Amino acid sequence: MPLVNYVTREITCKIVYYGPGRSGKTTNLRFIHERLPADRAGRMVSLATEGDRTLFFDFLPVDLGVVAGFNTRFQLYTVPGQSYYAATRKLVLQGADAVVFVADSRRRQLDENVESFQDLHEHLAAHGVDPRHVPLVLQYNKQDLPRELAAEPAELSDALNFRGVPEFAADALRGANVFETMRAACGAVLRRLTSPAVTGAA
Amino acid sequence: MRRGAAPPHVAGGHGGGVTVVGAARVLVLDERSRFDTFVVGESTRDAAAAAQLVAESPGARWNPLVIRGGAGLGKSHLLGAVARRARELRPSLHVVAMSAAQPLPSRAAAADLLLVDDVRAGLPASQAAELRTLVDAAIAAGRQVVVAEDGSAPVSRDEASAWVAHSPRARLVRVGPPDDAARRAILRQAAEARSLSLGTHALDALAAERVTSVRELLGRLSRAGERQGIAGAPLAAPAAVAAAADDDFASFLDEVAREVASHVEPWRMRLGEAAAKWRAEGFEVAVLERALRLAQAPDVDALLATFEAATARLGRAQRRAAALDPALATHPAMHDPARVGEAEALLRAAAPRPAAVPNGDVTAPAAPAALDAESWVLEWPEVRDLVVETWS
Repeated sequence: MPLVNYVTREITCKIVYYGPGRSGKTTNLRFIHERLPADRAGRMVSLATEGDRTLFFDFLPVDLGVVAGFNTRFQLYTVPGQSYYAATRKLVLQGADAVVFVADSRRRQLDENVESFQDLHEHLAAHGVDPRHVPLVLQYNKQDLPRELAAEPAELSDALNFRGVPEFAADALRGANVFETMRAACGAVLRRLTSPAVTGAA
Repeated sequence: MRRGAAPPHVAGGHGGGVTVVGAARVLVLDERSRFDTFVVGESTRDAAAAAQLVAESPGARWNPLVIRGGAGLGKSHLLGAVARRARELRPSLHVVAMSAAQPLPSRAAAADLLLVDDVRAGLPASQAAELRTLVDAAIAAGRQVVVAEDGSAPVSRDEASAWVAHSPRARLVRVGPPDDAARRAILRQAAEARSLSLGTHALDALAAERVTSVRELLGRLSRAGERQGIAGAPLAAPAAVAAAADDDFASFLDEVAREVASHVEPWRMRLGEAAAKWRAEGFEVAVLERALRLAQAPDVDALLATFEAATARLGRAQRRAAALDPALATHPAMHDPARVGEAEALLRAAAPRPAAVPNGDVTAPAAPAALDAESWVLEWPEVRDLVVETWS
């Protein structure tokens, strides 16, 4: 849950980018890192193998400074998409205030997307969290690919967006809708600040 | 896992390997950090050459090598390139990459090549001393050390960092903002790596704009590339520059501010402010913190009035306690408005007993029963007509 501390005037939110391997989660964070002013984004911590797949996780702290009287921080994480890193995914997902699911639009990856999406729900449930209560944003990445390779956003929406959550057709490599996806996730988290369970005092 | 630090990671074998700690892992495990991807400009030429030298002949020449410069200018890239190149030439080399901002890794002392990032002014004294000890020991043992030090102010030879002054074989090299030619080369390289089809004129126009860091330059490229993607056609040079200058971060901040302002509740703000104020004055504010966690707004006026009255009584009690017994003034109850009754009872117990009158009776009034502080707290803030007996 997002932590809003009225005494120290701090808001801290954890947003996790989830999705199958090679769907573009790390690329999302890299783009955001570049787009943020140098004094607002901390070092992006990334553990990648030679194949450029995330082994452990990426972490990007975003310090927005004092916003509406609160020192506001977002912490962006990615999970490793490969199926054998289930334990790491579960660990990173713990305490997530919102999830961005980055789907790979390539048609041949549809099953991977669905499997990863189910995996997300299972891990949330394992943490005792009702997946329906976690803000979720869907991103259909790699929409720059030729149409014969990439599924239409509507097709992906039919397969994944049964909750009717915000969704974005994106090209993370070039940045199309990357920032917008993050904005949607941040907005969804902030709109939950009024919930009594999210307020902290110490 | 939440808000925690990443554990160390070890890779490699054959007795060598790479140990990376926390934020430093980006240095050596990001495959983009190589010498052949580092664009050399006038402001980075010396640093790149020196870094390559120590990567290829660790311990033979400069030790430590200190790379100094502002954020986003390539220091970390060079550290990563040193690690990668050194391991290419000597697979058994044990490399430790660490951030000065994090606790020192236990494996650091055994490193053949020690890379220290994020050194900056203002490190806690104990941490800086530990780091100095570690670096000194590594150098004394003939191990290569490379330090990336944050600092954008010009440094003269005489003012060179303490690392350099400390060691006769040390060398300080600086990295600065990229010049025009370097900006152009960086943009072309990045555009190619990202398959951005921005035209030469657009890239040149972007490169013509001065920037303070490479990160800023790449951000401008990203914005221009994104705008071209939306337009679906090559951007002309002026349009690329205009797109790059768009500050969508500012609009994001506005959006966040609107959301925060519309979703935080004024009564929580008041209680939070009061809690911060009283905490700063040395009072326990658990009562107010508990009220902050209520689902519905309590009677904030009554709550704060009661709390303030309790703090006033505690203030009086503290002054009297200080006169009687300074140790008593530091008792936790003396600082907790929820235990004001207990504080006053302690004060009464510590006060000198009055002289007995001839008939043997004691003239002081009987002490009131101590307030059941726990139930008082549990009732708070619904208790409106809180009656706390006073004794003066």
